[in-house]
Amino acid sequence: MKLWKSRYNPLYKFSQQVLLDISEKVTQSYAPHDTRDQPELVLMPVDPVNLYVYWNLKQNETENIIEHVDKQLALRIYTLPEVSADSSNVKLSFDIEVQSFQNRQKVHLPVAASAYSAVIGEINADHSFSALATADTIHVPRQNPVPENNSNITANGIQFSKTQEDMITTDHQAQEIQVTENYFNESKNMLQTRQSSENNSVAEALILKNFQGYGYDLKIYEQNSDSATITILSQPILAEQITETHNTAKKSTTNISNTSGLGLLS
Amino acid sequence: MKKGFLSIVLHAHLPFVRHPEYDSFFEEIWLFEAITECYVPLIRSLERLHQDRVNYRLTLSLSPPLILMLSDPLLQTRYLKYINNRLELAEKEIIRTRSMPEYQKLARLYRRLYLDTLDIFANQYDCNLLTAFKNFNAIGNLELITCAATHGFLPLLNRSEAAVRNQIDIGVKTFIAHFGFPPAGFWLPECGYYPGLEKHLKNAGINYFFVDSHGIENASEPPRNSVYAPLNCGNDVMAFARDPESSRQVWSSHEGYPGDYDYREYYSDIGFDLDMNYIAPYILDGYIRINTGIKYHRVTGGDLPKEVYQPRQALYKAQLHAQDFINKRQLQINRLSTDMDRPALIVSPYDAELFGHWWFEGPQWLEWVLRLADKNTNGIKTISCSDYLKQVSAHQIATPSASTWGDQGYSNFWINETNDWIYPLLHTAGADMEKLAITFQGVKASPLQERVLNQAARSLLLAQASDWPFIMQTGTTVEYATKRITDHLARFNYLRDSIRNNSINERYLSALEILDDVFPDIDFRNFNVAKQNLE
Repeated sequence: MKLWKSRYNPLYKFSQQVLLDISEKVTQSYAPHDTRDQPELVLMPVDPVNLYVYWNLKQNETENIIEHVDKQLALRIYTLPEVSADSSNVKLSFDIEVQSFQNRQKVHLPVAASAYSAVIGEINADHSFSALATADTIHVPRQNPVPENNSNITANGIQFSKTQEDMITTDHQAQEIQVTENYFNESKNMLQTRQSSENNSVAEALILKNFQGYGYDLKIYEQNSDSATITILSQPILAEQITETHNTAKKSTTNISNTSGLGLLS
Repeated sequence: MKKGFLSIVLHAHLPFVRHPEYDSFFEEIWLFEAITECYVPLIRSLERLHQDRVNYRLTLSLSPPLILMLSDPLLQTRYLKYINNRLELAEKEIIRTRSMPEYQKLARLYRRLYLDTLDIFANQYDCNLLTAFKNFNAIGNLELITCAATHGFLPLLNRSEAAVRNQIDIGVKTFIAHFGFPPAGFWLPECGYYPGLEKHLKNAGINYFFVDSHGIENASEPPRNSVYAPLNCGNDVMAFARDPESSRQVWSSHEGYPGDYDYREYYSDIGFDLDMNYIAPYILDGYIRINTGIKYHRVTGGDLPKEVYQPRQALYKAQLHAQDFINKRQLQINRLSTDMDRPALIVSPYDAELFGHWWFEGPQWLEWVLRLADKNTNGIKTISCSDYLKQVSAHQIATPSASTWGDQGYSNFWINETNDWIYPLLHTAGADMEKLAITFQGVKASPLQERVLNQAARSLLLAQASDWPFIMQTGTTVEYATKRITDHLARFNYLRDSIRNNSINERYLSALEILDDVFPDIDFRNFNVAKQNLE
């Protein structure tokens, strides 16, 4: 019978069966489960317009939410334009309602090449938000090449890629409003402005209801500009930009995939 | 000056699969198949090129798990048993097919191949194929580079800087321990890049790495030479891009060479085709059908009945495809050279296991590509990325965009509903490992504590392999991937708790050291983030 000897202490010798027994005992007794004692919220970029979120809250906090029907657990996700790859004077934010039994979620994002952060918390009956855990900042990549020059940067600072621009160029001026209006009509979204209660530096928000059918309302703030509100002109342009960015992202960028190792693909 | 260069890069990797607790283990066959069908055929080709004095440059990335397995005495012994078993089957097939001359000719071919493989493996290289690669490197034809310690998918381990740094550093150290020199290049697992990774590569002494095409195309500055010249990431670490055109010719299931009707059909194998009583001694546990490697049919095409494989015809086709590949690279370089201020570099990276395993004729195709590139007088030459950097200086400075070479070009394959559950567990274990390292900062650990902490680091690294989420997504052997990640994390938890509770059981520790016998020189202190930041 083959015996395995410890390289550090030759007194220890093991048969295959003993190795197997120890392995099984360790796995049975120490199988991994999330044991963080501190609440946490973690974002992970997946692609230009998707990220993964997982969280770990203290049990008494989630129980508290279950008991109070007038409270709703939610993820509040927002862009950080000041540290984004494509600088912008527009800030985006949206809430996703989650269930207390959940601990992870895939999130569809409104724009690429942006920095995002998030907070998880309770939406109270009076619509106030009580934070339970905050996430670190993450960056999602751009999905198109950087333009050759900066002439494509719009008033809101979100960059058109050359490809995107080409797609819109035909009768650009004529279609601009049309596309935007169709967008709002077809998706039955409502264009609203609302006084923001979340950020004093931002006066008003444009709200795209049920953005792209993803189940959240996208709030768009214009900040750090001379005007405290989004101008009438910039509203449709902005909506079109975001829509266009998102549609482009749905297209696959790479058709070639690797096999990553032997025997791993059927 | 040459108008342009071609850099062929093979990335060789398999997950670390070594099970001393069993007499034999199915997943170890992944290694044995790769030795038989990929690595030995590659060595055979390199030997022929050397004998014929062909002047070529090829880059081979050897992942640390593969390095460890190829140099592991247990797996070497088990491989000898495997190849002898295959030889026995081939001999039996010669008898079985005596009334079917076309099949018998192939059975004889397999016997010859197995005999030759056994000779190369056991006699020429004393059961350690790393020696062969080391030799070709010393001759000057083969550039060797490496990869992350356990092929961890770095964009999703990025929650912890220590996790990423140790994947890179331990990978490089493992390479140096086996080859005696540092690698100039680094293969990012799955070409998974995110801005900032270059800092760790620089600290590990790496000069260059690879990204997928869109990583360069979508860089922070528009790339002046598209994907045909490297970008300097700002710290003199260079990023080379995969060329989409040459990749597609080999990878694509529709237009790629491997799907040609004359090539050997991978999915037709006697392990599945022959009577159970006959094939039982050569399949898993005597009753679970698996590939034996003996395949008698060619792709044929369409829904037609599979025709018998014709090796000469297939070899001829491989030569034609090699010529086609070179012709297209020439046209590409001619086209590019008119717009570029420097010689164009076409980087063509492939999984090494494609050549020989999935594409049986792949090694011959590669050999012909290298021969033709040497003969070529129209301005194309094979080169390694290190050579290119020596010949061409002053590269554009820009940061590549986060990207991978996986499906859709990003991280989707490694994080989705099939495998997302692993990341909170991996991140928690990574954070716990950092805490343990911090706890022992400036504190002398006892020899036993040291062993426990180092073994915990090994368990963590093995859990971090990108192979486990990859397998979960592909849907094949998911149970094994799940068990592996669960076992490694459980072992980590056990070791962590034995330190925290001061309850070290040396017997259990010794068993875990035998089970996960990797990275003998690991130092748990390198998981201390604070310490590393000070350095």
